[in-house]
Amino acid sequence: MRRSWQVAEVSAVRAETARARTLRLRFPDMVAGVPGQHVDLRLTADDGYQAVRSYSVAAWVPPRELELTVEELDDGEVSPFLVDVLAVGDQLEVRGPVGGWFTWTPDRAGPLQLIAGGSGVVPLMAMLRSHSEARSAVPARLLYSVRSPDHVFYRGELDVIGQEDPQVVIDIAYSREAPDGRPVGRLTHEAVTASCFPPEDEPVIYICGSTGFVEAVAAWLVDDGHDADRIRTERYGG
Amino acid sequence: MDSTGQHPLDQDHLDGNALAGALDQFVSDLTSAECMCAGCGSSGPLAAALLYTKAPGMVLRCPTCTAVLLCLTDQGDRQVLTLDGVRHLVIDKP
Repeated sequence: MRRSWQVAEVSAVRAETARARTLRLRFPDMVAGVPGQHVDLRLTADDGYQAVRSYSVAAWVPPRELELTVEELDDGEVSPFLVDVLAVGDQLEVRGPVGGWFTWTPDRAGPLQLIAGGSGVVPLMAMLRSHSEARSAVPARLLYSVRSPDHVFYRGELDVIGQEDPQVVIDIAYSREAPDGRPVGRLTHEAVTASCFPPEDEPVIYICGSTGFVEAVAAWLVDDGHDADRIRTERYGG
Repeated sequence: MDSTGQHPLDQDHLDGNALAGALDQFVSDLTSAECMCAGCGSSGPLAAALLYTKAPGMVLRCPTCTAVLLCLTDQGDRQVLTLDGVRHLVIDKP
């Protein structure tokens, strides 16, 4: 772990949706971390004003790179710059990777249950990628709640993992607009129960999304009989 | 006082410098440390507590009773960490 700020360079950018993109950052030295960790980015304006924001790592690209996915917020101070302005070759001040609780590594016992609301999928994607790369025999499920098909991050890769990895089930729930034949509506307790491993399987559960999403889903799972100690949550605010 | 005029507590001690190695482990990842709330006595990892950043500094509150656990304020080239609401932190060894 790096305790101080260092300068990383944007080495690639890739659109995920109309309002979100993935930034690949290249560090001067080796950078390593575990799925679920985040980095802090610090931006400094011409007048010296500084803003620090945390972004989850979506992918580790050894030895010197990692990827973040940033979604533009309507009232955002930093995210519009990262999504619309920042270009390949630009530099950013970065601290981390940091965080040690909302993390998963393939040696953790128990089926892996991932539950994402919107851009909360980012750290869970790092976990899913790690699961696939390790050819883990642990069964894994991702329940991903999104507004519409146009809001899905990592669409192609999720399709491939879901089709090719027999250990992984990917379930996308649409709240506002769905592809033909798929139900539409806010995620319900019943839908979460139906999509998740049952409590008797003793899954380790990671939930990431807005505060309201995380708190509702975590409460439903505890109601269903899941041990609160096996549920880890991360709120991204809003 | 003993015969040398020193209080017994004044003898047989080192100073805080000798804590450096033992405290060094704390910088690995404090958010995983289990924190007991001094207000309600509930415990959980700092990562699961509620962080408010739209304040003069960062304020961490207990997820059970909402009491303030700690505040971290930036004062230019220094930071001030207050731990008024923390009874203890349990930190895994690396």
